[in-house]
Amino acid sequence: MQSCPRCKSINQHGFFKHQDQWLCRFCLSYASFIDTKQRSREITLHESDYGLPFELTPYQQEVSKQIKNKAMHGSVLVEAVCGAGKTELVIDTIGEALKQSKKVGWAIPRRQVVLQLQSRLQKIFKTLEVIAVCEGYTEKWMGDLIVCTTHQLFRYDRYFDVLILDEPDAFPYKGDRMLETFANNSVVGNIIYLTATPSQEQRKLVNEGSLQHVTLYRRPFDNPLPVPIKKVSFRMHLIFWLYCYLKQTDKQVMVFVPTIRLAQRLGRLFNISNITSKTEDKENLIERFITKNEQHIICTTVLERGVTFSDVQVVVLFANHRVFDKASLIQISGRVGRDKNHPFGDCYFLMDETSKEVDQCIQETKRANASAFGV
Amino acid sequence: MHPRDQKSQRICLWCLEALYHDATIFDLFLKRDICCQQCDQQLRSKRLIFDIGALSCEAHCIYDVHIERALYRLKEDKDIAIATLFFKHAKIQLKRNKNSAHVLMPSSQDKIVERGFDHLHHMVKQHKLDIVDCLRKKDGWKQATKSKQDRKAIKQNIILMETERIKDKDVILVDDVCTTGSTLLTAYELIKPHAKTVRAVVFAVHPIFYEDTKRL
Repeated sequence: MQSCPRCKSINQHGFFKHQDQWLCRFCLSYASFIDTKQRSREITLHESDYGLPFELTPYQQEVSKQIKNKAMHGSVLVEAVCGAGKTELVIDTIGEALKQSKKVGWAIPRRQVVLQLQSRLQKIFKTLEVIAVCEGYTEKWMGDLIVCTTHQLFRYDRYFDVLILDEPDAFPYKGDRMLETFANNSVVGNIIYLTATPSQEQRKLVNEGSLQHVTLYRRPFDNPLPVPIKKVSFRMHLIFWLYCYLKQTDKQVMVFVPTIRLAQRLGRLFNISNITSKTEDKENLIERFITKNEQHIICTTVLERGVTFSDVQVVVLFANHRVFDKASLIQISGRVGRDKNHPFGDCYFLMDETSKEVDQCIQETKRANASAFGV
Repeated sequence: MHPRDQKSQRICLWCLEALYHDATIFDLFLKRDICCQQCDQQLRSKRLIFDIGALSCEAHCIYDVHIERALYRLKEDKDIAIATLFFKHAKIQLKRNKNSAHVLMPSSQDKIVERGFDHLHHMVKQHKLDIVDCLRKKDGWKQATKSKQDRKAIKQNIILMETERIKDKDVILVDDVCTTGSTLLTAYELIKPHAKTVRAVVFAVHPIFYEDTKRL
């Protein structure tokens, strides 16, 4: 076997023969979960059966229309800045596809976002059955509109007419050929990529003309993106600066650090709660931060996406660390100014040496603002 | 780069990572064949001795989430390539002499048909044992799905098919996991009247059961 059709593995040591059949050990576990008994049903959807609880801005409406038209003719890359309302931009496209009895799926790399998204989409499409398929929610995987993690796409071989792939630049999808293959194998029609930070490969496809491109560099409240402020100094000084900043500000601050160990140590030093992938009561801490019961929080990149906090400032300590690439820094700085009532905020990148990724992030932010506002 | 994307990258049979992903300087002098260093350590026998009544048992390791996952991969995902790893370091425990016979605990027939293989046979294949398939499970009985109380009912659901090949022999009962010991005890009671000696070798034992029955 040259390569596995399911996961595109080319490692010859991963293939073995059993009962006259070649099997791939890397994706063997996925095959056993296929359940052929579940079937989709025919649905009827009218214009009046779905809708957002608020009006889109004129820019959002324009972009939404562009996506709906372009998605008929091929795959689309939707490049929209953090907080631009990417979910709302594709609602019309989903509605149109469902009205034409097409099968629509929404895939996202991270599990916790699947559940939130399912709840939001169910409120928009009230007459349809919107199901979440992810770890812990795999008994029912057929519905009118399917929201799943990218891992779960292996169940839907040649199934979707339209697949919305949200945040393809996020872990674990990014760089994983097996998951990319699952996604490509699951679609017979077109894919709509939603991201604020497209990859080099996607930009290349756009330049070649094989991927259509739609952009939105403006947030709904017409506020420009916060441009991060760089501070380069030696380590102890940065920590001291951070301590003073946290003491003197009366606003909530999210402090991003590169490692779990640093988050825990800094948390003990400053007496501040920390959220990492190893934190057990993450949801509780996030809830406390949202309800302003926690003034500041120290976290790793686990909170760089998918969370919206009102009136929050961001500090990235040791932003030159290799964990923080350009996409990650753009996502982190995108946590600021997401609330209509607090559209501005501070974003600081503290570094002990200069970093190309930081400079690129700042350039990208300025470019987006220039495109949207000419500033 | 993931081992999946490298054509000739040798991989660990157990964890599917690159074979030398955890290599140390000592690996310059050692040749790894099928397992990386971490997995090889995990698979080394810890020789856990315990007794189920009069039956003397020896387990390789404690049953934990990693073993559960590996067994699931073998039995449900049908990853037969992993089978030889389970008793890889069990040559001494399974040692045979002229007078020995190895009796594998039976799986249900419909499971064997569904899987396409008997996993225990593949687990011990490398040691070229003198296997005597003298025990059969009645159809429809799935021990793994039963509660602790119901597992005791296995006595009515295993039958001894023949005694000729175990008569006056040193019988070694072999199983993958010992959870409550009901299966092994039933097999022991069926075989003991005919065999010279009976002992058991299992790959993993449930930690609570081991604590209750270990030999001090």
